[in-house]
Amino acid sequence: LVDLGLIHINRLIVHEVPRRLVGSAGASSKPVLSEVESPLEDDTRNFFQERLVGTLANAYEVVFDRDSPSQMPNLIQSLLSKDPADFVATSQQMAILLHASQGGVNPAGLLTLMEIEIGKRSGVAIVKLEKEEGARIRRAKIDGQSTFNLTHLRDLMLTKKTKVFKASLFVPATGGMEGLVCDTQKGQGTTVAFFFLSQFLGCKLKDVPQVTTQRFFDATERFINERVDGPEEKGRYQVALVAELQSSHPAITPETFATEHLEAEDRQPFLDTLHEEGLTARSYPKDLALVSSILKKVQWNFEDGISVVGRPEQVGEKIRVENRADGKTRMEIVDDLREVKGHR
Amino acid sequence: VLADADLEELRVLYKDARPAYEKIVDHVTEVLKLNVAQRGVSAAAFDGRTKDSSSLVKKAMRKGYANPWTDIRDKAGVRVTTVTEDDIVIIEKVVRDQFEVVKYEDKRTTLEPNELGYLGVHFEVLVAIDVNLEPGDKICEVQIRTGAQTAWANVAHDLLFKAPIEPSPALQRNILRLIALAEIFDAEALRWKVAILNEPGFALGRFIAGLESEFLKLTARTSDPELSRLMIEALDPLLPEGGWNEYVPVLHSFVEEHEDKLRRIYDDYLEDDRLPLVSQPESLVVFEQLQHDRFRLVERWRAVLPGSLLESMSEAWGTPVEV
Repeated sequence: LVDLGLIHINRLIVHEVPRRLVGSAGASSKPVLSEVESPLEDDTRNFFQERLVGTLANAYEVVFDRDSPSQMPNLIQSLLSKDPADFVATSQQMAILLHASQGGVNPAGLLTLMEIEIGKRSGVAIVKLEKEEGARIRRAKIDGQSTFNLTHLRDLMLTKKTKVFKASLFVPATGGMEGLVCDTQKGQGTTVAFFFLSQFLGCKLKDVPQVTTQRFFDATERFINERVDGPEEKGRYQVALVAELQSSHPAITPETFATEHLEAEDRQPFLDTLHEEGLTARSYPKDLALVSSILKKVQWNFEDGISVVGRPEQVGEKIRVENRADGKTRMEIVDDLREVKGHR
Repeated sequence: VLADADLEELRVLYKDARPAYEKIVDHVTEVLKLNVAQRGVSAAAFDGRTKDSSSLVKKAMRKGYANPWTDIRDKAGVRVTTVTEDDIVIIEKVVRDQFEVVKYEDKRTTLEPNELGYLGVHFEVLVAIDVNLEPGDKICEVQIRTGAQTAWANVAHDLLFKAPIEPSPALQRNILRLIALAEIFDAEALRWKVAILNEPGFALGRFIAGLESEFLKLTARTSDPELSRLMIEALDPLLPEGGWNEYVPVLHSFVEEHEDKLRRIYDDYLEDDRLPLVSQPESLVVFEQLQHDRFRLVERWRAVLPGSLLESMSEAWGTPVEV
């Protein structure tokens, strides 16, 4: 897995990609291309590194989609080959491709291509920065060639007028390319905007959502049963797991789940358990197809053979679980008894 | 008495084997240095040597060994000199943990209460490294003693044992009774060490000094000691109860695993005034905690420190947190 803390930006170039207008106005809507990369001072480099890390922390793992007609996989690979393609010219092609991928509803932005190192590996990051409508971007000239003034861009980002909202990172790995994509401005119920992931980048999500969801469910249950001591906490976490999976969020973000539902001392061990199971702390898309049937009920099994089954929403209401001082569990069920019968 | 031919054979045999013994000395010295430092004993001195050929031959002649090659056990030797006597037991444990001990002698336990004499601890250890020696010959002697014991041993060695004439009984007694001063010196040094350790603020000072030493190995930078004090006091609940000595192995292993990343961050951020903590030794604690349990760090930080400082540090480390 890519350690984002190893990212070091070597080169950076910015192109302005306007909203794509339709009809007769479309002809005047063209990217404003830089002709040379932006000078990178140390503090500006650090600022962009931090923004990149901050955005990619909850990114999805992606792979190139062989069925996609996008030219981006070829352009990315050409930059990372032993004989790399020209950085500026390739970035200009990317800006033109982004503009062509966008529909009329996609806002204007700044396509930023970064040549990076991650430890001993080379990589590229492609970011679309949001630009507020009407915000003027100051351009600069270097030896007569046009480019962007990064200090000005950073100031805009600091004042929240501009923020990263779509970011991707590609690093060559054994057998292909490791990719991460994050979209902080995704629509309700989606993980990454289709135009950015598929049409522009030519990628698809690496994980099969229903399989990842089941692996997350299994790993979390294992953590609850093997690493959590208190019976009360076990029940509470199980209910939280069910609630998390049944929520309207389109993705699972383990770090957020840990922060929102687990006691402080259980959070890191939880992420460690996921790591042992080969799951990252980053996000993965959710699909309940393989787990929906087991989300309906929670079952408690006791040492002496007693089992209790209930619905998650009954916990805390009709079913109460307490940790006793002697290490045993006290369970209280308050309901109208319907029948008693022999176990078959 | 060994024949001339036997002595010559011994000399030639040792000449060929000496490079292997030099490798053994280097190996034992490195292993001891590393592991002793990890146990928080930073002030020990390590001296390794192989016996020179003439000393070996003279010893064989003097002692009249039946099998001098096997009987001379100190062809390779490493001496560890401690500042205070209490560190000896820590180093003894390191030797036992790292090597197979074939002989152990604590001279302190061999003297009667009314006797005075040398007090060092001696080991013979088998060193299982790939050198051109029979397995049973890969022996290294390890001596452990205090600086005061070493001072006395050096005097006694030159004046008592290696003197061209045997000193008179009165002179011998005068030299031997010096060891009493060494014993008193060590006892007093230990007493003051315990007193200093119990001084208010010592544990914090020791922690900061230790951190600074580790920090300076990664990057040369003057830090603000008052800020270090505030930060370590604030983060104290996250640190081991045993203080610096207990934290050292955790930190060493963390730095070893992430050295390239730490160097990269210090290179990129030392001059960046948006991240003032990066130029402080306690940044190592912050990065270590971000790596091992960022949730506890966030909880603690929220209670006592400005959140934006940690958020920037966490982005530099590659694991952004919200505080």
